[in-house]
Amino acid sequence: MKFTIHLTLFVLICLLVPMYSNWLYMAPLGALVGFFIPYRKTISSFAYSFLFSFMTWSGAAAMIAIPNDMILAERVGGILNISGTALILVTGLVAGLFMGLSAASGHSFKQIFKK
Amino acid sequence: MKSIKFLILSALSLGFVYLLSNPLQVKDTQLPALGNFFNPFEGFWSNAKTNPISLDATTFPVLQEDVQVKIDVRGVPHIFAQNMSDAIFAQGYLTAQDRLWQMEITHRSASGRLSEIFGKRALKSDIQNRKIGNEHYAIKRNQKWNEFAKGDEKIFLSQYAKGVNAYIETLDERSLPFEYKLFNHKPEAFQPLHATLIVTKMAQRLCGREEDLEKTNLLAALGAEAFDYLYPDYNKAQSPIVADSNQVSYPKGSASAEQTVSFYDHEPFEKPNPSNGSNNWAVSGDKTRSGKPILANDPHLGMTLPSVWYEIQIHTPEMNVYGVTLPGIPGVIIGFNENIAWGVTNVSHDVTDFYKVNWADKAKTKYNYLGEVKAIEEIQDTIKILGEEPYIHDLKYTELGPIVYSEADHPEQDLIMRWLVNEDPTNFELSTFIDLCKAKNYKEYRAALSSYAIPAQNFVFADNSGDIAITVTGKFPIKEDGQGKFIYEEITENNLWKGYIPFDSLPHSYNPTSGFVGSANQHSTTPNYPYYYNGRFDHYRGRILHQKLSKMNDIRAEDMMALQNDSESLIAHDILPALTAMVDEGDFNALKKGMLQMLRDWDMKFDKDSKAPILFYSWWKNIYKLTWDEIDAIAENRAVYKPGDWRTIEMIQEDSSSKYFDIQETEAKEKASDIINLAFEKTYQELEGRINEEAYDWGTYWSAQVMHLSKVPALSHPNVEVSGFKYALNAIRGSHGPSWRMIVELDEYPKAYGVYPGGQSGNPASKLYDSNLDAWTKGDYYELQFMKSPDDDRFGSDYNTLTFKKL
Repeated sequence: MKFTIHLTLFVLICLLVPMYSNWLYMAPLGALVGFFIPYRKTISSFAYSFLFSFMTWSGAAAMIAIPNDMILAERVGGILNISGTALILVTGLVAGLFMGLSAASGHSFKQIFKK
Repeated sequence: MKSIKFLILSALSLGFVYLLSNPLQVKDTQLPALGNFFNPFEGFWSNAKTNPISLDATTFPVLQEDVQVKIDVRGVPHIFAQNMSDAIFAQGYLTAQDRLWQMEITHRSASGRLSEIFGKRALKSDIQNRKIGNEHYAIKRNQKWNEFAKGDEKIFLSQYAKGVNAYIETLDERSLPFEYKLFNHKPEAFQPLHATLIVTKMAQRLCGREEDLEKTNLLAALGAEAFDYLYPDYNKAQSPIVADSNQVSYPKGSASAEQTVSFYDHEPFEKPNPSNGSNNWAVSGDKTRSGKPILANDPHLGMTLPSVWYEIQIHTPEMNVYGVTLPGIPGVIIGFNENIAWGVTNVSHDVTDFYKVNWADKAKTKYNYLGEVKAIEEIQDTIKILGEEPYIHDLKYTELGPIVYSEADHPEQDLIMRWLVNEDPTNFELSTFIDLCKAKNYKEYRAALSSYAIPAQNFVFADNSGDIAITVTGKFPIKEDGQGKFIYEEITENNLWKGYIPFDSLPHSYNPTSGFVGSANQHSTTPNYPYYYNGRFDHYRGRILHQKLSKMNDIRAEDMMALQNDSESLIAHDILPALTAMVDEGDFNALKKGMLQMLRDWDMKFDKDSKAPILFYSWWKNIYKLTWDEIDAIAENRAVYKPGDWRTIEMIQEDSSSKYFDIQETEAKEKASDIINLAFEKTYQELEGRINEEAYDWGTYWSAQVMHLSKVPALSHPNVEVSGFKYALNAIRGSHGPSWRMIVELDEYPKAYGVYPGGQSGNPASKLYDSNLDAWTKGDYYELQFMKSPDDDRFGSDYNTLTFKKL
């Protein structure tokens, strides 16, 4: 159940916040979710948050790149010396690390008050 | 422990937030904030959503009537408006939609404001453009244009700017063009001044080339006799644009004033690319299968992405015109309407002179000018640099132009640059392009050209009544013989320009008996032309064009296409038989013999699949280098340049024992034949390991580059294998070449073909970013969809339709 809630919240945060507001606001929301979703270990909070955010942003990037026949993905990938597919994964990585660290911070904050 | 863990994770998290939300400086390159850039909803990914634009929900108060636009499958807009004002507004909007960043970078480049975006790596170019005073003089030019403009001219630049700005207002983070995200800046509002700056930039490319400083150093090093021998003004093998131009007269004045013989230690400003040039020609109906004229034009400019040209059709009740323009400049620069077609090549005259500053005080605040003491106009100028402290310097202006070279402790080295482009205009010079769009015949073509000023161009013309013509057009200073080649010691009446050549005295040709007119940046006239000029001219394309057109009859558009793509060069015809005859092949091995035979069997065409052009070019390069060791020695200390290829060839043919063929560092006294044999040996050593490799051919050796304006390779095509050579009609050299090929068959209603190495869209995510490149590489053309009305279905119905609605 907690995975489903975590996944739903993170997908919504990673889609709606950058779509309608400043993407930086994803960080406090991620921390909040990290605070409330009851993982035993901080590393679990980080790993699942990383995974869900990674999936959301790389998925969103792929949804744009594929109808574009990967034209832009390959060109921007070329700037970074990587393939278009790798660029989609890097997009996911950016969101994954960003949200993973936010959630882990929230989770570790909660741990301070736990006995 | 838990608190420490929290603190570490929070610090990491905040650090990551900082890292992703701030631009990154890597060496001298600034990367965008990675979070902003990768954000799939606002970052670069959103540029990949290339949906057709829609104006359904928009109205434009500036419009008098609705404007209908059909955009064809190649992304070319066909604008149907009820008046010029509305048409130009729509042109501004649509061009910005495809090329906004390019427009901004071009005018920023002219005014010297690239460092704000690209940081210190653009500083040198910015300093040069500020010192030359591009913006200073563009402001004056713009003011004068406003004063002189009348009728449609008044709205020409302002309506275009309004159109561009209307598009800019639609932009948000999501829709910002890709490069703004990559280089992390925002679009500036477009002003008419920016269009003027783009004209200045073009003038800089086309008539900003001079070698006065280098020539002066050569004169000081070699003496007048040797200079005149090595650097003659005129090539007697030349085939000028207008051969019988001595129908005008001009009374010669006294000999040109004294010119300096000092050395100058300045590092000269970066010059425009020597490969900026073009071909154009028109053949009369007597030589064509249709019985009507055909006109062709291919301007050779930087082959960039986004492309230098933007294709467009503009239809109003008073004109229906199709062609290309530079993004940022309204109207059509090269094109055709229902009755006429026109094209341009660069004239290449030297229109820049330098004068030593004759200071009147030690503080360098006053100078002597024609017997008077004048104050310098001094402006403290600040160049903003991304990520660095601004660069502050003083700009100094005199009556004749800016002081572009100066040294604090050596006032005798300070130089004023007088450039024709900085002279006050006497009319609205862009009216030429409005009038050509509307012109119906030769008389109206000539009237349109009479107001043209800069950069001087050879305007070729053909109309559907059967007339063909060419006019060397622009503002040309009247000079005495030899005037302006070297730096002047001082400013005197005698060494100033004596006015401008009257329009009717400019070289022109109308329906010549040869049945064709044409130009390829060669000399405008024979030396009989009474007005003196010098410059840097082509010596091969003009001649081969003349030879080939003379022999051609029953010409079709396909023949003109083949001629534009012709890779044969007269430089090989001129010298290769003599070179191969002079080779001593006594002890040649099989490979050397094979190389020589390959050259003897060669058809002199620089075809991409051929190996012989590599041998010829490498051999010639080595001959040239071995010959001009004397000039290389001077170049170690001062800026100079070497004699032209044509002059070197002429010397081999006519003066093969010249002392210049002697290699300075050997004791022997070499002649041309010794140089030729040594160069062949050197070429053999360079190529013996490669020449027989199957994949090693002219296409790989001479490959063209079609680079993004930022030079980022991933946004470019850095290796395009094509036929052609700098001295062939298909004049490809590195990143320069035929930037637009156009053929127009005049008739009751014209039929036209065109192609350029790029695409209509400036968006690297779009298929239209480089969609024409393959066709261009193969020498193919598109039929241009010159529509009669919005309902014209002769080219099918595959159009995206837009309507700009009035309020």
